[in-house]
Amino acid sequence: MPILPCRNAALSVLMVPKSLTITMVMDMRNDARALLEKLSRQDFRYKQFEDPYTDMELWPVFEALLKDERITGNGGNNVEAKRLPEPRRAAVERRPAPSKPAGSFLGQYSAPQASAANEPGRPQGDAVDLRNFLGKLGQAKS
Amino acid sequence: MTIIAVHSPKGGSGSTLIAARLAMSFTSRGRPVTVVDYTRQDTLKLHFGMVPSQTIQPWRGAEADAPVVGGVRLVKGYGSHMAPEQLIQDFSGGDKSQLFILDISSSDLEVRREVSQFADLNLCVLEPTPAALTSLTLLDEGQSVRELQNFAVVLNRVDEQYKLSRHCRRFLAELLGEQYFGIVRRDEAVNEALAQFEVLEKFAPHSVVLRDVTALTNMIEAYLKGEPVVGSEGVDAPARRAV
Ligand SMILES: Nc1ncnc2c1ncn2[C@@H]1O[C@H](COP(=O)(O)OP(=O)(O)O)[C@@H](O)[C@H]1O
Ligand SMILES: [Mg+2]
Repeated sequence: MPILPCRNAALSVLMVPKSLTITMVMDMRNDARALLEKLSRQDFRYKQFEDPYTDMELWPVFEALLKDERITGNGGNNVEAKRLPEPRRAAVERRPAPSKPAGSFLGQYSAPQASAANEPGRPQGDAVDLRNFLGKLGQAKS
Repeated sequence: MTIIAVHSPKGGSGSTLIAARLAMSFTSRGRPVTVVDYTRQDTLKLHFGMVPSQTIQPWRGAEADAPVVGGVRLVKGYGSHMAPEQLIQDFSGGDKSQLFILDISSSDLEVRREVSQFADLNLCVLEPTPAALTSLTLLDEGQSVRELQNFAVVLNRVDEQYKLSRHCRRFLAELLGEQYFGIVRRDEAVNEALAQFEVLEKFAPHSVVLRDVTALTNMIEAYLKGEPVVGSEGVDAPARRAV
């Protein structure tokens, strides 16, 4: 039996065969109800997933990657100094380097890290405030 | 001529699937597309309905070894003595509308690096797993991921049933900003179609993978035109989500 993911801008809804999962039946959205009525509603249960924008968690792997200079650089301070690709072809106009995400919070985290390397007294742990980062993720919900 | 390099720093992430799907998607929009297979696996052809016994010989300069399937020209770059740029020149014939999509093996960082110098877009395919995210750290020895030019990430095989899938998606959107090109969801129909030697459009015309790749194609088109890339998600996703 098919699984029918049906995507909506705000929430993800998935109809799964009853036999496959134990799901919570909750107040059903109208579009999902209409779809279920079109299909044989006996065959499906309704599951509404949590909004990915509200249930963020502090996974240590995210924190480790945020601290990693190979991912975030040192806040973009030395972009010029580093090797940039030499375009051998000029067919398509190059786009500027992607701007840092809103509020440049990544720059905020990585900048102290770069100086931490130069100032031995500074604890590394200060460099990334993951709670702050993930807090922003939570706030992004409107 | 436009060049899109598809690569993942971790094998099995779906680079070949994405390369094949993008090729068919752009072809359906009327662009002449050539896919160059730089992997040893030889599985790209399956996405075009070819069977395992049908082999494509490495390109050595003879047209006979580049079959056109479903409007897409398939070229075997792996094992060819030609440098990628030279091979592309061989096929472009000065046609500016030509689109080249290169499927680059995860372990072949040499080809990745060489191609990244001239590709218009380097599309990195990741899965929503800690292993895939971690593999990003070894992508480029010279630059951090955030500093890479003409670089974007697509998160493949997303399954929103799983918490980590949802969190990885949100994390990458925030981390990468404009470099994040959204998701392609997991659909077992991909594998069922391959098992059937059928193309996905025919086997499962309503597959979410087709829908997601259409959205990805739109983003890439906008990017190549130099237009602001408006995805279904990203740093200022909340505003867009209200649609
Ligand atoms: N979105 C998807 N949904 C379901 N299966 C997928 C999806 N993307 C890839 N796969 C499957 O995962 C496996 C690995 O994909 P593949 O494209 O070969 O990865 P890579 O080329 O990066 O090694 C293949 O069996 C492929 O069919
Ligand atoms: Mg592959």
